[in-house]
Amino acid sequence: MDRRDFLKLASCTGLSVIAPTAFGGRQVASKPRVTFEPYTGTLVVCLNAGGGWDPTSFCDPKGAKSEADPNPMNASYLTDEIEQVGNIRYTPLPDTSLFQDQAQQLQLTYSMRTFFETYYQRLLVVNGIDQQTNGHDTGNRTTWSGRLGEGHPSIAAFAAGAFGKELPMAFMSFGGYAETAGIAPRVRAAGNAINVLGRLAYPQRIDPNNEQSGFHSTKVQELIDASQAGRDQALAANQGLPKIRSAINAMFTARSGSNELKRLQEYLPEQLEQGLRGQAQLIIAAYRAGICISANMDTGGFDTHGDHDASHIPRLLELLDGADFFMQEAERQGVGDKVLLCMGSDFGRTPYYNGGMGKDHWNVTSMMFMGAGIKGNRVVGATNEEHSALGVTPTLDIDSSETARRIHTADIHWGLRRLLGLEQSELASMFPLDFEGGGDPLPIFG
Amino acid sequence: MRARKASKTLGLGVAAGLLSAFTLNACNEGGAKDEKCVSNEDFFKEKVWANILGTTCIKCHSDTGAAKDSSFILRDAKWGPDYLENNLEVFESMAKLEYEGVPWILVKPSMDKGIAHGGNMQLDKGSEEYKAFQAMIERLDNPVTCEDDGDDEATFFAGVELLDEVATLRKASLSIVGRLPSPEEEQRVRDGGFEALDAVLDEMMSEDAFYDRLKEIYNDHFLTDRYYPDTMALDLLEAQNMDEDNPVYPYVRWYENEADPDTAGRFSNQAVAREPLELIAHVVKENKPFTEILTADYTMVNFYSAKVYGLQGVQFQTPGDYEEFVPSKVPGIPHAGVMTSTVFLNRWPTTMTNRNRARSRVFYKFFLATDVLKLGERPVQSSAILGVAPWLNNPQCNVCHLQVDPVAGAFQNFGPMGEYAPPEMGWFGDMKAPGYGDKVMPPEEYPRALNWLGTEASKDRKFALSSIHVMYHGLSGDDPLEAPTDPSEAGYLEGIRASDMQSKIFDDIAQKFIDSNYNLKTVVKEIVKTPYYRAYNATGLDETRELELAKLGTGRLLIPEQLHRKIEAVTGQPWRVGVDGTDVLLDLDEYRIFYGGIDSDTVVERITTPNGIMANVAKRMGNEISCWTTAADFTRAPGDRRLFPYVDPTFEPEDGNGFEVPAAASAIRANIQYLHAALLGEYLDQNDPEINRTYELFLKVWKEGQRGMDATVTDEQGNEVPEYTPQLPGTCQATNDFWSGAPLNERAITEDRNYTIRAWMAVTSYLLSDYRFLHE
Repeated sequence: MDRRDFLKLASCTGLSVIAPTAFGGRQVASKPRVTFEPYTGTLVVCLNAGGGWDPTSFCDPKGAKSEADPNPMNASYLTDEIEQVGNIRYTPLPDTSLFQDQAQQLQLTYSMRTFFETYYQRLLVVNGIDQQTNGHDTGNRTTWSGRLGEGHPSIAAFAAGAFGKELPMAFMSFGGYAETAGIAPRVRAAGNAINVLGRLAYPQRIDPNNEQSGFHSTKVQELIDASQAGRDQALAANQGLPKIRSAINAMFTARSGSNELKRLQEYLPEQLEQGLRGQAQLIIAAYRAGICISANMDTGGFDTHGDHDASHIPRLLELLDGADFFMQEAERQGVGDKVLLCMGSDFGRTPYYNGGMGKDHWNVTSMMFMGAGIKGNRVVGATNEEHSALGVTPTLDIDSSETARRIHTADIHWGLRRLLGLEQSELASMFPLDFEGGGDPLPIFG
Repeated sequence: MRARKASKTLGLGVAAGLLSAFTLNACNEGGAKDEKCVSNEDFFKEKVWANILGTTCIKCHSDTGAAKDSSFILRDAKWGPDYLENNLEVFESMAKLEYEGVPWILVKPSMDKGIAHGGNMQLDKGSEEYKAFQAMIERLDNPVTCEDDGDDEATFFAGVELLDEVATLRKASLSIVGRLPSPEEEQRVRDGGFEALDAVLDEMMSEDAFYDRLKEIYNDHFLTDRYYPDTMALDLLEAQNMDEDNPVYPYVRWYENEADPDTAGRFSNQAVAREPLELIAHVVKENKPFTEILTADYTMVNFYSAKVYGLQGVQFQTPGDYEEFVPSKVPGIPHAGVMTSTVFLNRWPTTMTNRNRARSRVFYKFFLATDVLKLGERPVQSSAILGVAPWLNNPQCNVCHLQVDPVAGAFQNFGPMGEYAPPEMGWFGDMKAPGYGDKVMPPEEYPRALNWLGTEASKDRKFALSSIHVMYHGLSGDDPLEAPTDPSEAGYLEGIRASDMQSKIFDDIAQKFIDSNYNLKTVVKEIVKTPYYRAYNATGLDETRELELAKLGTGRLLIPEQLHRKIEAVTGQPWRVGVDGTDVLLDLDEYRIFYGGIDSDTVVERITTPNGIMANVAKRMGNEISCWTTAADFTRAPGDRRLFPYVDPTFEPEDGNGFEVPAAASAIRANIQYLHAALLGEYLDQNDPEINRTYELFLKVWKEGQRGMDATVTDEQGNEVPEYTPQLPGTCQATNDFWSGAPLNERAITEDRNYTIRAWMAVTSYLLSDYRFLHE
């Protein structure tokens, strides 16, 4: 069933007719969950490098020919200094490179070597992805949805919509492309999250830590909730405008799983760290509580049109440190085999420096994946010396001919959907992917 | 719900009516009187654009398509709100060309008369599409214009139920001034209809609360409140210094030796941070043309920021009042409305290589209703990015850059930090020259380039439309409709009809806006009267109609700021722990971000679909507010109560034998009816199913209370104790006045021996966390 047919059928059966959303049924979506089943499937996490990262500075290394190279691809390290672990080549940044002195001034502590040596056996690098755009919004959208145009949900929202949109933190987003296309609500957290979440986990208690401190008695709270559910259903049933019906159903869906938020309390650390590390802690805790299916981690500062090396390299190291921390936290919490971490950005950066020693937008990029379902120690795709995308054969051998097929984000997203067992799902029909030449997707993940 | 239903209902929907109408003659061509008049524009949209131009021809005949070098270039909805008008003009220009007596627009795609077509044959002679082209060409010779009797609008919105004048007033009042309308205001509107609504709204728009909301609406776009905390805005001014010994603004830290430097510094920073928003408020408050937001040769300062800039002789009515802003000029700055404020230029910065293109983008977005990035949603190849000045020379790049770069050039006098720094070597020669549209900026205007840009752009009708779009988003929570561009999408044609109808309505508002000399209050008054603001239900919609009306309706989840104001407006008490405590919905460390709000810094997009956490915020709000306000309301005389004017805690619905007490039950029902109106805006009959549902809740809770107060349980010490005590929970007791803190003494309520107060608490919790309380 394609998206058009699905929407027609949905309309006839009283489901959504607002393309695309799953909230618009004439009746509310379902009865409140009576028994809660914690989510234990794959946790899908998209780590976004906002602004457009430079793969040639980490996973698709291309250095300067010499220190005197007048047009270096990267002035921060030499081609000869490129390192390799397993099948994965990476840049020598920052320690054993031309960047060493600057790294000391910037007090950089993390290194590419730490990351790649630690994770290469779990890591899949996809190089030479042709984004087909060098615009921020479009690039970020295609990276995380597999489509240049608007309207498709991010892969994180896609997973949440498929596996349990009623969970109170089904899709957490700290930024990046977070389009839900109406198939799952998005949750955001900030500030003093731990204190606030305590109160929100127990909205029926005056003191969250005292179960005897209800605003109402337990029985009365049940009566209120039941009346509310009844009214939501009546409002939806009597509503003729799809948009309002959709809004009522979204409210109902949100309420139906909200009671499970209290489970989060059991798993939250006493103190959240800052930045990506804090994001990772909260996501893993929510997953362990069984109330989170997917999340966006996000950090910015990669749009380095000026002074690229000094600005970009520290951000990359911070990003990889965040990824490292996320994987460690997952291991610490006993869910290391359950997480799927996807790393990407808007696009790549030009294979040359501009007049301000910055790098501008470039439509060729890379993505990295590790965790559940990923066969590690692999590099798929490639670029030439000028960081232009090389084509691939249907079996992913490099094909340097002009007419060879390029890797597009649609191929990657089909693979991700397949990893999640969703490539034939109803949502996949609603949000089809277009492959170059109209053919089959490339088997990026094997 | 007070409502008015659109007077006409078409059983088969407007689409069938419109489509069949296309076979008819136009009304001014002697057709039957009851035949539908179809204008040239509608015919073009439905029969020519939607059927072939927008589905087939545009694949090649676009700015970047295979036929990009032809003179027949079509644009889809991403091009801007007037894309259909543009395409009709293009069609017309081609139709005027003839080959052997046949219009070129027919000859070429049908490959008639031996003419080649790069895209091969696309139009069979004799096909319906060919006939539609012929009919359109005939119409161009004999244009059909239809009288605007509102019939199209009535037909399109047939079956839609609209809020009436009084309900519209309530919604608008809560939205723009954060309060309920007074009984007098309601009565005036009840008596005088929409004309009176305009008058009441005009009065409301003189209140300070309206300007707070207006600033909030524009900040959602400008995001300049990023610099509101601490001394972030003042830091920006200092960062402009190129020479520490010769600072641009030497008095930025004037307050450091004042008696209360923290307060003076805070007021100084907030004033600088709010300059662009205060300018917008000033222009609207003084009924000035809204174009002044781009052309004003002044900025807004208060007592404190005047000192920051070292301004002498600025007159304030109340010196020291941080809320009093007056127009003033900062020496050396060629002010051009909001664009030249330091915070605006920093919030939308540039770099040496970006060359103000990012600023150009937001200029188009904020002031010209155009997202230039969407023009670039097409496959780009690496080879296009290489080469000399690809933005000028490569069609894949210059499709955007030819629009973006001239406006970027107009920002040439302001550097990355917002500093006034005209380029010593002149502007970049490898970019399209500064200008706007087809107009090139005269070099003598370069010193005041942004003033020139503001003046030119504000003459563009798109400026009026952009103001409507911003206010529409602020008032409804929705983005303006955008026509679909993918013909394979479900609801493609219906989406085009819907966006076209909205475009027409917005265009009418734009004309009224222009006719009122760009008074923004006109826009507010007109938007709240549209079906987009007032539609609350519909009947008899078939699949096509549902697709056409898919985005219509009042289903906006209130933003945290609005919910905060609404709670206080209806209950008389804010959601705040103690009178001097934190407003939990506004505080970034409390619920503001969790409830989908923004911080104007890293969190800049509001969440519009509720999630589980937001549901719990709403639930906690309902519980806390009902706890704090229920007993408190009963401490007042009935005439002074906000929530319970018709009942007392002694009113029990049944007697000891389980028989209804008619007088008490009737009063309880009346109060429930009142609460539905006051809290939810629902004006229901006393026997309405929803009144019954709420009454049932009250009754069940009260009965549960009777049972529980008679029952006993064993406590932790093994003692038999009453299951429910008469005591209200501590925070739900009313012992002190919230605002003054004064003890209530004999009026205090700490107990609830009848369990009626707790029954009313349950009802209030239920209503406060209701869908309709949380949405408008």
